[in-house]
Amino acid sequence: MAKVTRILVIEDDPAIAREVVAALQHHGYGTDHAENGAQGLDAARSGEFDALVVDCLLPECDGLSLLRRLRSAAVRTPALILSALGTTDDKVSGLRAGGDDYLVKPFATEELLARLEALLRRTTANAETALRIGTLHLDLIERRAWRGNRSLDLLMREFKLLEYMMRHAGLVVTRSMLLEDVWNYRFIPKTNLVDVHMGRLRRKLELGGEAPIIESVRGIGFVLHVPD
Amino acid sequence: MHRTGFRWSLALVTPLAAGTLLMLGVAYWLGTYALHRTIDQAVLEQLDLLSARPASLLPFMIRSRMVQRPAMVTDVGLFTAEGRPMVGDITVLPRGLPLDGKVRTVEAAERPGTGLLRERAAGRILANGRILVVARDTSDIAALRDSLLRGLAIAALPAFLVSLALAILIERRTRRRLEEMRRASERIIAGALDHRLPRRAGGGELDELAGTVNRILDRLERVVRALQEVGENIAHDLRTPLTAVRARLERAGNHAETSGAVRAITAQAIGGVDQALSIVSALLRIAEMEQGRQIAAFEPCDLVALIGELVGSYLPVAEEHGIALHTELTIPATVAGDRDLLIEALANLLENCLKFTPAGGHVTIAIIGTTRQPIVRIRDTGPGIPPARRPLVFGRFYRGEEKRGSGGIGLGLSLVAAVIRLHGFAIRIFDASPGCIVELRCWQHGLAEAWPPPEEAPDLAPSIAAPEALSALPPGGADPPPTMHPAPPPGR
Ligand SMILES: Nc1ncnc2c1ncn2[C@@H]1O[C@H](COP(=O)(O)OP(=O)(O)OP(=O)(O)O)[C@@H](O)[C@H]1O
Ligand SMILES: [Mg+2]
Repeated sequence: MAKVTRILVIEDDPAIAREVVAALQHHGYGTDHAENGAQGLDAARSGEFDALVVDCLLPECDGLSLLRRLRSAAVRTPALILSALGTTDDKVSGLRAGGDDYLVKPFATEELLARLEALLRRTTANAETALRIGTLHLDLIERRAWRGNRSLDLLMREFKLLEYMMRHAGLVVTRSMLLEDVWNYRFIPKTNLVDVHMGRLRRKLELGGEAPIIESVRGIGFVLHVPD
Repeated sequence: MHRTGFRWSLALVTPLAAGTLLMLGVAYWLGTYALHRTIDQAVLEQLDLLSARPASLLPFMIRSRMVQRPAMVTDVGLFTAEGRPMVGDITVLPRGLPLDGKVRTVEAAERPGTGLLRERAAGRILANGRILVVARDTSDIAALRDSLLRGLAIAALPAFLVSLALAILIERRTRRRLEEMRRASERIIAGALDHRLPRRAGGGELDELAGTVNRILDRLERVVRALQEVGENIAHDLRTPLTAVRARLERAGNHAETSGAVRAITAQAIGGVDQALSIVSALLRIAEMEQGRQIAAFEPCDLVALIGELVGSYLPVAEEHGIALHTELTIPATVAGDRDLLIEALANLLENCLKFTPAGGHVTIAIIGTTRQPIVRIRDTGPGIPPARRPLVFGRFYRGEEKRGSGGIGLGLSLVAAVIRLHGFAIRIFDASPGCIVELRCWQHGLAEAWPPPEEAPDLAPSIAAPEALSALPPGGADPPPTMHPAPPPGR
């Protein structure tokens, strides 16, 4: 039996904590819940967890100082910060304190799950010069892409998009993740910006009549399938 | 109130009375002491003059003086050592006059042809023992003094009374005005925000004060109204999606037979809730920006790179809309700002162009002006914004009546305005006929700090973001001080 991935939820609001824990368990995670910063810090120090979900505002020891103390104690468990208000400042200070990703309340459960998955998958600094998934091949130095033998004529943005999808292959990637990480936008455009670019990328990927490799996940985002 | 008024008029009248009395006093002093001194001098002079003459010539001189009588103001009399009159117009030696050459007041009743007279007189015993007396009648002076006093009294009393009346009148008027103002203030305090302090033409300081207070009230009223409107709009715009959500959930509860149907309806309901939530977050973000909290994040932003990048992202979107997107980025421009917010503001403007411009149209983003004062100019070939609506579009929840496109919530330009304010930039809308030109006036990085702060503090609500400035001036004018400078330049 595969080892269960364990998540520590540090959140004082009982309603939100209940929903988050329920959603995580529903998706097969093992969860623990800490109601305040002190408890959370103790639990997280044990190093038994694969990821942390940390609320920004906590009684006793707020989320950011909790993270700072964890990091200075060399606990590197990836952490997702939950915050009530999406100010740029909050986000910057959250990431600076040692958070790995940042999610603004209210959020969709799928968004939380997708980001958590991405965090769990995150590998440390990669100095690769190429990416390969199935027949997809990216040359990161020359910025060129192939599907099989066919060279893909990608624009800069499409190349970045494909690279991101490949790094998150098999994972659901949400639109806001793409906007944040590929576009570096801190807002949600009112136009279907992501979909338009993704559509073009997909068309280029399937130009030779190949099978679709990137699929939409209704209402959530996209996934790049890893061929078995 | 009454008592203060009375005290006030008393205070006004007292110095007036004192002044009048003082004036009378001076008149009296003039009429007695000062005039007497002059007389005394004349008397002494004559006495000295005559007594210095040779004794033998004196009777002759006195006689000749009498011939010139009208020219002389003093009377003279020469008496023997025994006091018998020898020559002169004084025929009786004044009783009780010490003959020491000093001037005194004497009764001269004995002089023929006249009644009781008062004179100033001085006498002296000459070397040969005779007595010389010089005198000057003071009755005319007394008469002069009396008429002076009478005149003054006649003139001063009415003047005094008139002043008193005026003082009371002015006091009454002032009191009435203050009372009016107090009553108006009470009404305003009670909530009549459109009420104003009464003003009168040419009303002096009180009127000026009322004017100032009224201007404060104008401004307050605008702000409060804008806030009220925003509040009502929030309520209204939240109610719309929430009502739909409610209806859907009700439908799911009552009619959905299969779990699939329930799921579909819940998905719709979540969409509605998300819309409501997005309104709330947008409002919070705007509010946050208006409090100017993010200035710390300012950094040099290369506008050319930033716009080029943005346009690259939106190019495919524009193509989907059948709109040609152009750039003219020939002027290098770096401004101090929050990169993320600037991108968001420009994206909002661009999205508006794409939304409102019909297929086949053009949208151009250019940097004009100078490197020191770059202007980002976005031009489309859409319906444009008529001048009357230009001040309104920056208000929260403002949408054009036509509601074209996939109904926005009308917060896009409010956010743009908030970003502009935060940066101390200016924004204006012009006609492209056909179409719309939006100009964003920026400051070169490093320049904004040196720029003098604006005289006016920004209004609280963006709906009143210096609307006057939005329609003035031709597009692209190169006048350095902007008319709309809605926020202090980014601080250090
Ligand atoms: N480029 C334009 N051409 C014509 N009209 C415009 C343009 N930009 C804005 N407007 C008018 O100004 C109104 C307010 O714009 P704003 O961006 O604030 O709201 P919106 O686009 O309707 O909604 P939102 O941006 O919140 O989705 C619009 O509804 C429209 O009537
Ligand atoms: Mg808009």
